Order: sequence, then structure tokens, then C-alpha cells
Amino acid sequence: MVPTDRPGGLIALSVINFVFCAIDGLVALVMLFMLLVLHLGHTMMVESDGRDAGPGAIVVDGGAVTASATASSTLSPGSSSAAPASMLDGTSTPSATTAATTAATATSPTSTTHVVISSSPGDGDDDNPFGGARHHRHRRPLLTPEQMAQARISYAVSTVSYLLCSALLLFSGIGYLRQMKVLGRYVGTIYAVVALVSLVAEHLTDVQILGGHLSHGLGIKTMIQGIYPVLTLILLNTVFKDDLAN
Amino acid sequence: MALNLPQLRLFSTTMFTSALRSGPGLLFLISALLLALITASIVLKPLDIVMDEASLHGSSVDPKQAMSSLVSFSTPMVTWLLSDRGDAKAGEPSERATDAQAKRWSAYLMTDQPAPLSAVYLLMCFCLPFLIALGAFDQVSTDIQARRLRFLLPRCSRTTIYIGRACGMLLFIWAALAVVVAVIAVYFACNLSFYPPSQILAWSVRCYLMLLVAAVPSVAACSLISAGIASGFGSLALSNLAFAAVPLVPLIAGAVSGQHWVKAFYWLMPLPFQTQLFHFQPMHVLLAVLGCLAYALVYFAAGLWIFLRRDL
Repeated sequence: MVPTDRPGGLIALSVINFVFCAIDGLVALVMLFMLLVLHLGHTMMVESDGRDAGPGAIVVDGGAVTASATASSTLSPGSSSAAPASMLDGTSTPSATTAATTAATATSPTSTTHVVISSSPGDGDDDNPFGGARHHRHRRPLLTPEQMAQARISYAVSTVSYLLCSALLLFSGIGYLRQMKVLGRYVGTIYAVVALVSLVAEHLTDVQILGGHLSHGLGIKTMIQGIYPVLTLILLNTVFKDDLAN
Repeated sequence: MALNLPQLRLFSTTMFTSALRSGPGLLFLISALLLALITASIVLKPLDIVMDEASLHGSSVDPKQAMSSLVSFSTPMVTWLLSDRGDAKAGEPSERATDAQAKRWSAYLMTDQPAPLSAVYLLMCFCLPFLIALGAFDQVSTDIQARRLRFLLPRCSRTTIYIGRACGMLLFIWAALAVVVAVIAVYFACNLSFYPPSQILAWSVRCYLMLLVAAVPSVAACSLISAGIASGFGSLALSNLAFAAVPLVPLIAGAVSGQHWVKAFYWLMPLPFQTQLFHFQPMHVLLAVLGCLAYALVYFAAGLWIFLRRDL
């Protein structure tokens, strides 16, 4: 059977494929950058001192700069401070880690905790070139070596899966438009399976980093990332089965 | 005018499958899923923030307690949204009765039932016409434009074609809404473990039935517009414009001119009483259901009247 009339659903699916392909490609690039940062031996450190940091206080450490958002115990909803909050109590995810490496500070009324990227762990004493005061700081790695190794594996798996999904989305999108059996139906099905497997793998890796428990249950990201592959899998093998025959 | 039942079933089935195969049907399904999930995540965001804050300070908060605090904080706003005071002045007996009714109603939605689910379904009820316009705008308009329907006319009556297609589209919308409600129920059941799954399931089923009723007037209005315009894009544009204009024009015109009579435009759609579908009193629900069906009947009859007389 050589279909002549292309269903509108296939065009819609291919457009969505191209959009998701671009998004996945961008996410893969960010993941690749994070993997590079981890590979070059940069260590995310947690610094804390025994006094308040005022709003706008800046900590310079090994070339990385972090700015403290607020000195009070109240954090603004939706601010970047929410990301390290999950990291400090051991509930980090790759996305939370990404947010934390840019700028992050968690504060309490009595002490200040800074999350910074540094080339070496350091010894604990540090000068503040902006404030001029020398004060004692406790520094410890944000992640243990085991967690760091696990984070590397997690980023590597995520990068590979995002790149693979991006390529599969692109090829299957072309296949939908040309109504090809191999490039459309088979590659589309492979994409759906790979996306679902990588979603589960990503989830499982997160669970291990979290220390065996999930803090937020089933997230919106997981739901949205999971729905499209499931829809693709069902539609390609039922509704559009006979349309992809070239 | 004769209605042939086997042909009607055939048209309905064909419309159902072609709605899924066509771009608009798929767009409706994906848009509805995304809207529902994004709404659900927005509704759960305050709870996430509270839990994050608590873990940041090393303290543990019971999610159920946090949710009840959030519910008690947001209930007055829901009461205000649900209260329809009309022209009653402050302190009048009718105004006091309305306020008491609204308080009881908001307590039913926020306390007796899972509050996040109620919020999501109420918001979906308002957004439903726009979503349905994305999926149901092209029931006959493209075929009228392409003059394809003339091949069917020797064998089928116009009534069968029109009713069959509208029924098929309605069935598709109902099936898509079932998927959306199922996904939402699973999402909340996984995230809000302090609500019993049976309660989430029961309230989801009840809200699904109400959404089915709320969808009927919108599908009938799309049928009317589709029968009147021989262009797929025109039908889409006019459907969305009409669904946006009915609530916005009286609001803006009322604010600008200060005239109360412009509020009568709200009654072009079942907007003024649509929320009563989620009321705690069965009589209110029954009247709202009958009202929605009456609107659908009027739109549907008007569309059929146009379709029977137009050049195909």
C-alpha cells in the first residue's frame, strides 16, 4: 500500500518531534558541559562561617563567584536558592546541580552556607578581598567521592540518552513526513522505547543519589517527558500503522 | 430530514478515528494533557515551596498539615470567586445568604474533597472551550470548502451527516478527556499520598462526568460555527474568538461604560452557571446539567438549520 494522502496527525507529530529534538539537543549540550566540569576535577564545595552574610555579600573562591541572595531565614519562592536546598539535604538531581553551580547560597540567621565550584578542596581559611576581614570558614565537599562518581555516571547516561533521543526524534520526524516504514514507524518506536528507558534510568540514578528515597514523588518533568513517548508508541503502532508504508 | 441509524453510526466512527488521525485532534489531546499537567504542577507548587523551606531549615513538616494550612489560607479567595452577589448590597439578607452558601461550597471543594484536584478541574472547566475549539473546529467546514460532501448527498441525508459527525467529535473529546483525567489522577495519587487513592478516584470520576457535560455546549457551538463557515482556518479563528469574546467583551464593556446590561452577554455561553456543576447540592448540579444540555440543543439546532439550507 502506497499512501498518497498524508494525515494531518503525522504532520503534527513531526513538528512536535522537531521541537523536542531542538530541546533535547540543547539539554544534551548543557549536560555535556556539566560532565566536562566534573571531568576536569572541579569540586563543588560547601562553605560555612559563623556569622551572617549581608545581602549582596560575595564570596570569591578559585575563580568562581557566588553572591548571597538574602541574610534572613526567609527565601523567596522560586529563587535559585531552592536548588541547593535540595542538594544540602542530599536530595540533588542533575537539574538541581546545574542550578547550584551557577550561583547559590543557603542562609540561616546564625550562619551562612555557600555552594561554590573550586579547583581544589582548600584548607578552610580564606580571605574576603571585598570585606577585608579574615574569618574562619569550614569547607566540605558537597558530594562525597562516591556520590561524585555516581553524578558522573548520571550525567554521562543523561547526555548519551538526550543525544540519542534528539537524533531519533529528527530521523523519525523526517520519516513521518515522508511516510516511511523504517525511518518513520520503526525509528519512532525505537525513540519511544529509548526515551522511556532513559527516563526510568534517570529516575533510578536520582534515587541512588538521594539515598534511597524520593523527595517529591512523581514530578511534572517526568510526566511530560513520559507522556509524549507513550503517545508516540501507541499512535505509530495503531492509528498511523498503515500510513507509514513507503 | 430522515435519520438513518447505521449511517449515523458509520459517520460517528469515521469522525472519531479521523479526529485522532488529523492534526487538530492530536493537538487537542496534547494541549489538554499539557495544560492539565502544568495546572496541576502550579497548584502543587506552594506545597513544594513549604516542604523545601522546611528541609532547608532542617525541620520536618507533615505534608498533610502543610496542605491543610495552604487550604485554609486559600479558602477565602475561593469563596470570593464562587460567591455571586449580583446587585445585592453589603449587609442585605440576600448578600449574607449568598456569602454563607459560597462559604459552604468552598469548604466542600477545598476541605471535603481533595483541594488540588478541585482547583485543577475548576480551572480546566474555564479553559475547556478554548481547548475544544482546537480539536472540534473542523467538523464539516473543510469538506464544505472542498465540496466533497456532494458525493455523499445522493446516499445520505444532510441530517445524518451533520449529527453523525458531531456525535463522533463529541465521543473523541470525551475519550481524550478520560485520558487527561486519568493522567491527572495518577499524578496526584503519586504526589499526594495523604489523600486516600479511593477519594482521589471518586472525586476524579465525579469531575470527569461534570467535564463531559461542560464539553457538550462547546462542541455544539463548534458544530454551529463549522456549519456556517466554509473554511477550516476561518472556523478555528471564529471559534476561538467567540469563546474569548463572550467572557471578555462584557467585562471590558462593563468596566468602561459602567452599564449593567452588558453582563447579559455572559449568557451567550453557559459561563454564569457552569461552576454550579461542582456544587455540593444535587439540585444545583442537576439544574446546571440541564442548562448546559439546553444550550447545546440550541446551538446544535441552529447549526443543523444552517447546514440543511446551505450550498454544499
